[in-house]
Amino acid sequence: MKMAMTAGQLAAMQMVFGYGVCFFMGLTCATILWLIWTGKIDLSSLLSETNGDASMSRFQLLIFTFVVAVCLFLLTVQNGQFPFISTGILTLLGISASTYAAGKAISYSRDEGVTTSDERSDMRQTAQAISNTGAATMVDSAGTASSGSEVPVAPPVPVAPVP
Amino acid sequence: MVLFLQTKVMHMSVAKLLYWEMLGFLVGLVCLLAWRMLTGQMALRGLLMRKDGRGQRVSPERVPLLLATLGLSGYVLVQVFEGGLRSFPDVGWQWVAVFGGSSGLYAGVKALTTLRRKV
Repeated sequence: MKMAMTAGQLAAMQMVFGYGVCFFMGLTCATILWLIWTGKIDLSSLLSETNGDASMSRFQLLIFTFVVAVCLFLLTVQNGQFPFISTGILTLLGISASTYAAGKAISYSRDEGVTTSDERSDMRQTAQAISNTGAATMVDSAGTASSGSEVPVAPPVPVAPVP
Repeated sequence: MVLFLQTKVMHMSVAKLLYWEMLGFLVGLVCLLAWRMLTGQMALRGLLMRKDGRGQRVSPERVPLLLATLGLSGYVLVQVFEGGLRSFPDVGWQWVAVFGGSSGLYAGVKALTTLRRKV
């Protein structure tokens, strides 16, 4: 036996689901903003490279993407349909993203891009300390540390792992 | 107050309600990010500085990229609003050249600096 829904019932269902979606979207947006505000979603390193410094390529990508996203939203709402995105805007978005990718690739290809100055200083001091003992390499449970002098004076001695 | 809001909400269409929610989210997100940047909670240290480990010096190729980004973003926003929120502006080849040139300069100098240090 088929159950036919009346127009009124369909309209009521549409309204209920519509307001349900609105409630869900509103709750999601409010939750995200609240989590960002309280720091649970940590954005402090959003613009940082691996070494902790701010990245210009990330900054320009963030700014330009945000501007295009806001404009896209406003135009969609105003016109009731997805707006036509000109070739110029797409080209600029592509340049922005490519600059970010290139900057990231270059950063990861050198020590200064992935380590802080403190870490590099620690590594130099470790290498110097090993060199002062006259050992060529130092082996511990984590692997081989950086080498000291070229000519080994004593065979490598296993070092107990530091707790 | 709650009854007043409930009445207001019930008279709003679903589309209008979604519009205000999305707008509120976008505005809230932009304001949060801007607040974090201005109060130093989001790291902007060294944004314009050289990253070659030879001390803190302003990097000349980063300044044009920053200015081009801010200028282009402002231009797009102004054109969209001046056009009555009808369509995206038709960005001329001059803006593409300026932005592309400053980005290319930034990436090129960064790559050159890296190659020099490797050699």
